[in-house]
Amino acid sequence: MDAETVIWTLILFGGTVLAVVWLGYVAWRKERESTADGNGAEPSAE
Amino acid sequence: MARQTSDAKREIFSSRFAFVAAAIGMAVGTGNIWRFPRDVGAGGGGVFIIAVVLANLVWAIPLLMAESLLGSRSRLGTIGAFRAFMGRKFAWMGGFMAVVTVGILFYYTVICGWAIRYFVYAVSGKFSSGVGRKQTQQLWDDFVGNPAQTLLFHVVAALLVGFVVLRGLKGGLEKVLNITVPMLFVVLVLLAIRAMTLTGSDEGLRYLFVPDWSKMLDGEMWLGAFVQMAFSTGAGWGLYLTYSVYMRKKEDFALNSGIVVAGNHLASMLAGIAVICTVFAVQSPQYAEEAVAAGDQGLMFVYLAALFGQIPGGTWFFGPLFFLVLVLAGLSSLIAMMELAVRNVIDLGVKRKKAVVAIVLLTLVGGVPSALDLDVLTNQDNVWGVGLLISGLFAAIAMMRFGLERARRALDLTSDFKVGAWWKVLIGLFPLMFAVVFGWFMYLSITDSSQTWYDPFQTFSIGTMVLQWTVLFVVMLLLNNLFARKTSRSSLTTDGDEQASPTHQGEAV
Repeated sequence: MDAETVIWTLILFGGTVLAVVWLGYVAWRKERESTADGNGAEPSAE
Repeated sequence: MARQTSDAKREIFSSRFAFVAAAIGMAVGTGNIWRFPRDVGAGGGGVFIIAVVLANLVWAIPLLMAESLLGSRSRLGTIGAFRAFMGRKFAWMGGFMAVVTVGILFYYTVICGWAIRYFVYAVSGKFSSGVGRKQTQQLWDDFVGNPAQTLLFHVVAALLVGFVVLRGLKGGLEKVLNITVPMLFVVLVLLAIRAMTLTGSDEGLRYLFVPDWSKMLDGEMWLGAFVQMAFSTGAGWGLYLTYSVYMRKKEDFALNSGIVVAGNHLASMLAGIAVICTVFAVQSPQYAEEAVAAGDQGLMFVYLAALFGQIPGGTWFFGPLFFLVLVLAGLSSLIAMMELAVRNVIDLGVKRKKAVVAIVLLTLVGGVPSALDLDVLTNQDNVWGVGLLISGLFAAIAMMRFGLERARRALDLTSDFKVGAWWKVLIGLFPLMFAVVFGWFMYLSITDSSQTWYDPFQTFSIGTMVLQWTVLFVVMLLLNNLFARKTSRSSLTTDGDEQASPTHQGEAV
């Protein structure tokens, strides 16, 4: 595989993976914090 | 009108994961699997992907946030949300948005039926080593030329989805999507890894990711990127609005929209790698060019299906997995479309059970023309696909009428990421972006020499789009007072929070 393909694959695909992982981590951390504060859950129909 | 008592509890997603999984399932559809890889190839590889990312940032994320506010603060489907945010004279806009998506629901059920049929074909070993393109072409022609088959699988898809929606949010949608959406990503990763480890797959990666900078100033490439993004993310469809009806009160609008858009983009990239690398690795570049030019169904059901027999493990493992991905992606979007329709009917005072039965019956009937005739399906795809751009414009207009600063403050209140002036600017600019994309679409239709642009009986003509939209506009305007009366709620507070009882009309308690 040539260097150009590797670089662009890393930038475009790797960048997307990083974005998803980072956003997912932030969401998970916030969820955990809000649950610990007692603000995360609401009463549901069940 | 059937109203529930105020002590009834509304259904809400049990966690952020559940909401995000459902929303990603809504966004990831068959277009990610078969349209994105083709569009990337035609659009200049990496340049197209960069354009899609930009389109996601300036169009999809702000619009999804707007939809989220509409749904979560009104606690009503599209019709009631527009009624609540814009006033009783504008409920028809929500009706337009709903019917455009229902128009898609009709033919999309047929497409999901195809995916289910091909999954069954693959599991039964139909794509073995001796099967080439001629055989898969014949198989496809025989299948779509057999009304009993297309109708049967259309019915199977509609009933499957109807059963899930009938069970409600917790018992149906959440349970199913919590499993199928992660499964969809696991299978996509498996397929991408398999494709990347095939000899010759590097040509596919080059085709996908290395930018062809000569396309950078090509207007059609930019149009293609914005259209791909608009269809792919579901921004402006009313689907995210519908799921937001069941959002917890203190939910993060900005972060959730970002995750949904990024997750959807990741699914597209994985599908692109899986499809394009497989085609490039197993066949010649010429075959690959032919495959991506063969249309969405041609790529998947004819060209790609012909390759499974030539891949180690293709016949019994990777072939079925490819079609399983298509089934999962299709059904998860279909669930959102049906829920949108059902939610609106519930808001009009009908119980969920009756609403689901009515919508399933309507879908079964409405999908018949598309199941019987591919030209009808293509026409409907074009008419309601472009109609979605108008729906998106309505969502932006709703924000403007509500007040951009007021909406921004409401969004910012529960968002971890600061929702600043950028959101107001992008929503404010939305009509301009709409005019450019929509205008370009119209220009291409007028200059298409294969069609008479004003003829309402041609598949891709402006005439057919305008005729069907006009009928819809008129019917929705006539029904406006009825919609407004049935979905009447108390006004919204300054910060966009709801004063009305969060109880859903018609929901079982």
